[in-house]
Amino acid sequence: MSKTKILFSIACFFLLTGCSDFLDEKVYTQITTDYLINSPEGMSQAVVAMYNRDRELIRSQADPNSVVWTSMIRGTDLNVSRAGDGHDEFSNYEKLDGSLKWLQIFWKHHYYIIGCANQVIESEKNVDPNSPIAKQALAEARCFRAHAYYHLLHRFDRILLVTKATTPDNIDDKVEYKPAAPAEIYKLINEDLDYAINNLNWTSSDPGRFTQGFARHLKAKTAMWLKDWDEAIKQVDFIIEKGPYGLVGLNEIFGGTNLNHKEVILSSQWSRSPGGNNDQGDGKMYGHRMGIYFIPRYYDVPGMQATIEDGGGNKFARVYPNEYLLSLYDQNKDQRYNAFYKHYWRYNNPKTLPKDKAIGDIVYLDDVATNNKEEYYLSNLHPACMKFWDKWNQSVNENLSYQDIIIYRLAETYLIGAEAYMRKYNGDHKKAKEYYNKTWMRAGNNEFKGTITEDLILDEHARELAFENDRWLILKRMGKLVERVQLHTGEGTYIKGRTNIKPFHVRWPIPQTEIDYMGKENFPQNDGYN
Amino acid sequence: MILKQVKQNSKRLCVSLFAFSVSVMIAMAQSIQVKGNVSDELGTLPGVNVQVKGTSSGTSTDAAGNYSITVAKNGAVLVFSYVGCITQEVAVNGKTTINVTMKGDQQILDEVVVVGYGVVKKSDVTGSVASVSADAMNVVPTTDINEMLRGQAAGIQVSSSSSRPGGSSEILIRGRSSLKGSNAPLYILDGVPVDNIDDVNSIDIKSVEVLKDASAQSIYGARAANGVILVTTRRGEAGKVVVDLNTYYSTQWVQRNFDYYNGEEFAQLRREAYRTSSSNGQYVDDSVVFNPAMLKALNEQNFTDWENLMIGNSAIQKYDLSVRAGTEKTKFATSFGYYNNAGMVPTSGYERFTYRLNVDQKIYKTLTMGVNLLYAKNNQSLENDNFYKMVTMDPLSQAYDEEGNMLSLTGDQVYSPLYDIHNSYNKVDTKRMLLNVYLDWEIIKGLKYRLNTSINNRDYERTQYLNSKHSVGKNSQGEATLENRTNEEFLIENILNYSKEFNPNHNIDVTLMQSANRIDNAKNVTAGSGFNNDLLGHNAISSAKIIKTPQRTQSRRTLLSYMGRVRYTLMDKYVLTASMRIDGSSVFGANNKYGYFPSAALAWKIDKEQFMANFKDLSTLKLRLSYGSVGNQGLDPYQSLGVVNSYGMLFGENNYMTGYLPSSQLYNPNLKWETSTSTNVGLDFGFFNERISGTVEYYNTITKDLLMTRALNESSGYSSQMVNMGKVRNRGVEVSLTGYPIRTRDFSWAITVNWSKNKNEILALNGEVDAKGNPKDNLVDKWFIGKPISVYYDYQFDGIWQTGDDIANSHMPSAKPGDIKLKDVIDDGEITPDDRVVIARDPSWIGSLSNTVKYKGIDLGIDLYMTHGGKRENRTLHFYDYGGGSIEGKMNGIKQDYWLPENPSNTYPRPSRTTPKYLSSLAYQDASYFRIRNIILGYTLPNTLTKKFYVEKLRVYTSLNNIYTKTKFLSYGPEAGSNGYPEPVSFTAGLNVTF
Repeated sequence: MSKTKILFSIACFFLLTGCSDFLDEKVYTQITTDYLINSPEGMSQAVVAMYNRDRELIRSQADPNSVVWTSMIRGTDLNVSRAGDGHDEFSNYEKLDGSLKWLQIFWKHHYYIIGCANQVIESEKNVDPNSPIAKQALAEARCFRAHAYYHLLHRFDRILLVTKATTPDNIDDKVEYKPAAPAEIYKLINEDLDYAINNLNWTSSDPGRFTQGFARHLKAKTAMWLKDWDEAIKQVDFIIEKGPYGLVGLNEIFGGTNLNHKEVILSSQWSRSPGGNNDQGDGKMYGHRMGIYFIPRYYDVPGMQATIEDGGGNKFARVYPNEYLLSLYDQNKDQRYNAFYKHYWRYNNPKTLPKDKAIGDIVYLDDVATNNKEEYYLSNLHPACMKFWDKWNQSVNENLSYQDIIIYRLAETYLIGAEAYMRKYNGDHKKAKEYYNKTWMRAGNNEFKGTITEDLILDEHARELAFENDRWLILKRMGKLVERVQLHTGEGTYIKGRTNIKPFHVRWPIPQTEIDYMGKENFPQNDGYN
Repeated sequence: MILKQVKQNSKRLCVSLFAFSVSVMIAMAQSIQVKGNVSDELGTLPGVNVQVKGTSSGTSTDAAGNYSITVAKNGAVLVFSYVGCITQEVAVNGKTTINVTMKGDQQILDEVVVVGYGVVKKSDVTGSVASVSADAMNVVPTTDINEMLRGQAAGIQVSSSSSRPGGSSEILIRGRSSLKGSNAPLYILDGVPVDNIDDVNSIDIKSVEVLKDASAQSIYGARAANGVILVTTRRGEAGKVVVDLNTYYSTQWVQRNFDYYNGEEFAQLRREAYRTSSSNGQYVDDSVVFNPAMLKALNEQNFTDWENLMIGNSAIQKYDLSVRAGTEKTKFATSFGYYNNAGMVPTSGYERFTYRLNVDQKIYKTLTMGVNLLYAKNNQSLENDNFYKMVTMDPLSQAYDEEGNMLSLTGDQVYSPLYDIHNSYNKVDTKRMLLNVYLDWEIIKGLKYRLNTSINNRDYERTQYLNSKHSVGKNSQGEATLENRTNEEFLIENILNYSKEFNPNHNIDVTLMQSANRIDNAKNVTAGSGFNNDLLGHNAISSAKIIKTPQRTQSRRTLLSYMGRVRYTLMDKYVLTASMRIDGSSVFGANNKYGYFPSAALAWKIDKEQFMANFKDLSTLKLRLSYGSVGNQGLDPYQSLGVVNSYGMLFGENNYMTGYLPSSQLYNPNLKWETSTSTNVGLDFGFFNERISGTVEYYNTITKDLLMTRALNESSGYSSQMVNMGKVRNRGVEVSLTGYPIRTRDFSWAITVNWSKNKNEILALNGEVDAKGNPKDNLVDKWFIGKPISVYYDYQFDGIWQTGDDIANSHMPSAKPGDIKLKDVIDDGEITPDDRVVIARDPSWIGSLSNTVKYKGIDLGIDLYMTHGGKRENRTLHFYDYGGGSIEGKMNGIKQDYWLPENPSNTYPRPSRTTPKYLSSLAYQDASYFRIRNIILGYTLPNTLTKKFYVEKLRVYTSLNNIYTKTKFLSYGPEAGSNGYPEPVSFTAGLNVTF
């Protein structure tokens, strides 16, 4: 009797031990990397996600105020900074060192994109090499990689070259941390772009994707760094002759929330709709801050209130065009002076209107009772760059915007072409003039017939592309950064950058966390920074 | 602990049972009258049963302990008996006065302690187990069980992770052993592992045991590395009906040990910031410094006290009714509880309803079945946005316009938090159901089988709506979010126990266990924006203009376990326990699923030895030694697989596509168990019949193969990877002492002291060495060999640069007077990243002292709590988002004596319009504190009075919590942290009634 009971209980005891697959992990709502690296569709979908991730350079959770992107715009000969994150470090060239978190975010972002691209590129061996889907994905991934290296190299000069995908198997392999020779990086950029040129169409049904036009444009830009004028000329001519691009009217360039017109070569895609911003699934919107960064708080002036047409409310009021930039325009002829900037405001608030003023009168600084005119001017009435003011979509006091950000447009291609011909033929080549005149004359100026010079190119670059995140780089490329900043940055008494900038500032410091990781004995900080 | 077989000794102190002696006179030839007095160590003892052996004749002692009885002159023997005492027999032998001193019966008094998969007598415990009584816990007005355990046992460190209504605390048992894996202990509720104990109503708790050393924990192997907390709930008893009614009302407020800037001071700070940043160093005109709205407020001296607007007093109400009853066959205990905490910040709050039913039913003489049911429903309301943004609004900003309407945009271009919280809601509703069914079968005498099963469900729903007036919601005509999460846990355990006493000298007890456990989690999120109106809030989601990409995640983890334990007692002096647990967990890599966790422990009851017989004052002396290992599987599922995230991308306005990429954390297919091995030496002692008793313990725990997220060089394309590496040691000493300076029947005073010191140290990391062959620290994750896990790493503050200092030739040549001066730690004449120093966070020791004084019906308790050492980062001091510590004059903050050319302060830098460089070096403040945690005063009405109203016991009490705190850490409370919901001070009045 009791024996039966014991046997029965032992049987019970091991009842549940039979299921051998009980501990296998089953994934329900996520797919695994296997899918991404073993099928053309997986590669293509990885590339789609990279566009989403790449958008974070303009605004991310770690950088909710778009400081990284705007820091790249700061600190040139064209702007004056009032305040804000990056004011000291990037505009005034003080306190800049490796501990600054924006540097870390910038570095991390680009290597993340490179890592993703490397994975897609390595997947080529796992799939049918002739699959058009795979080729398209490979070409776009190579564009991502080339573009990321282009920015890393030119901001830091000394960077690591990583071309292999990181996997759990190779993560512990011994890595020699040392700065790569720039030539090696340029070689990779060019190879990647050549692949893209051969495999991408001129246009994509998905605006915002990399195209052959982008690849050629970046190849031309890269060639300029390498002083390979022939290559730059070749690419620019090809884009202009064969590409689907064309200049649009001045008011159309930034004239809408969706910037995918024919002048655009690449633009960062933003929208309120799903997939159009960095929605975290928490019910909040995650647009960027470009719409509120560059406009002063005119609405704080007595007699004023925030309106959409005037630039909206709730502004950061941080960085403005300086007197030097505005002096480069012929105010009577050059329509860009008014198309890209707002120079004054008019009284619009009957409730707070000063006694001797009428609605519609221009607001002058002298109207305001203040003993500190310069500071008041900077925070409330300074002329503003309106390229990023999304009046089509943003509500008056909204502090996030969803306007697309143009990364490259044909105007720049023409200027690259003009410069390349100028360099190759010492300025007096008809193509140099022709290309120079494209943007110059679109703005309403009379045809320029003289000799193209470096200074002319820089002036036209300023007039056309100011605040579009290329100024710092072109000055650096021409070796003019320190000289130009010393001469022109800031205005009035806001000119700390002029005296602070040192030759070593032509490159950013390496993020301290990366040096901590790599060891300063292997990868020392850039000279001049401690 | 504390399933007491009989009434505890101490209970005799408070239960005043007045027995009325009834003399039964039996006429007998040659009888004599015997009188006397019966006492114990506390004094005279009423109600002692005095019986003539072999007869039915007897009496009991009166209130003064006196008795009188008539017995036969010769041969009569009196038997004195009393609950909890050794029965004594005294032969009369013609004496007419017999005084007796009763002695406590150690055997009977020996409490039973829950140790997991069974119970043992307290004297037989071999591992390190701390018991906390339910009475000690219920003095704090909270739903947070961990908070109730604070200071109640040595070796546990409780730190508040959220002081908000319905918030919870982190509890560390013997320090931090895991870097990444969770450091939360495993809770076992009536034999069922649960991950959240706060849904249990504290009045249902009978006892809590904390398993502290590996030998005690290892029977729970896989999940025990951070300690195990066993919670036992009350059950019905046969033949007894108990109805308890408990209620309290509590009011909460905040205290702070710092000042804010008032309106004028703030305005001046802002002027100073502008002055510093101006190009000529002169004060800037007010028209620039302040916008028109701020200027108006300043001119009219119309300042806003945001703290006053955003934090008010709040109330807690709690009502509990419980009924316990039973017969020999059926026993049950049930309770209903309601708790409501309104919250000090407007729109925050918490409400909870709990129900419990425990039933035990005898089915057959060898079969018993039982059901434990817990149902809890709670609603938590969270205020919109971060609490600290609210109190650090600048005082020049207005919350209301002149007509008294709430303003949305205030002063310095900041949205009013008051306006936003009133135009939004964020609610979390949780429903929890735990059903636990067991079957006990006594197969043969001594051999028992238990089938233990449970289903544990939690439904979580979060609903948020930012209406069309809210600063975010207005941009998209309302934003709604619905988030649903479900958590389902199944457990089946087969437990076999065999216990046999071969003869009084050999006692053996064997337990075998096998279990399977499965946990499923699922989450759905739906969000939308663009609503025609705000009438329906989130319920209008189906009419949203834009529905965001829905989210769905589901995960499963499984655990398969086997355990065996043998306990052998030799001559009731030596107790040996050995156990082995094998666990398989799904979250680890395919080749590393199983972990093996052995342990052994030995206890030697020295007091039972013959040679100790002369030490009469020593009532208990026991030495315990143990060694064992436990594991940690505190990992999220799928970390060993390369799962990817999905990202939506909209190209242009219409082309929406979904793509996939791995997250920035690289997967690791080789993940395995984190294992902690510990040695424990403990000494339990008691003197003067346990009038002074205590425990001293020393432990040394080494955790290896730590689960940690190591930072990867960003150039790999990944930021981090979960790995097993390194080694951490926790060493410490714990002392618990209980003494009774006064112990009489009417007046007693008990003092309990708990003190623990833990030293946490990283012994090894990934094994990399530097050029000199020394092991490399991990600067990125801030892990340093030889230092504790939890540290800060930053520059060291060394005062403020003063006018006249030779700055140009100093180690900080670009500094200006008023800037922060750092210490040149390595003394190389410049400040480099190598000058950063390691700053430890965890306290070096924690102590608590509780006093309980009882005089007749009055009870007074005072609990003191102290932590010493450890620094915490005070974010309010340096973090712009959370306050004005950055002295830019943007937000209010802790008032500082900041530097000015006219005020050469050496403690805080000069205000400017950008955050002062190295400001964080100022933020590490000593977080030591001393606190009067609780003062409670109660009065129990005399039983003779209350009985007339059928009330067995009626107690009224009031208490004060956190009433006094002494600390250098500037905040609303050193526990809550400087940027969380503030820690409350509370005053409580309550009532306990037992029918």
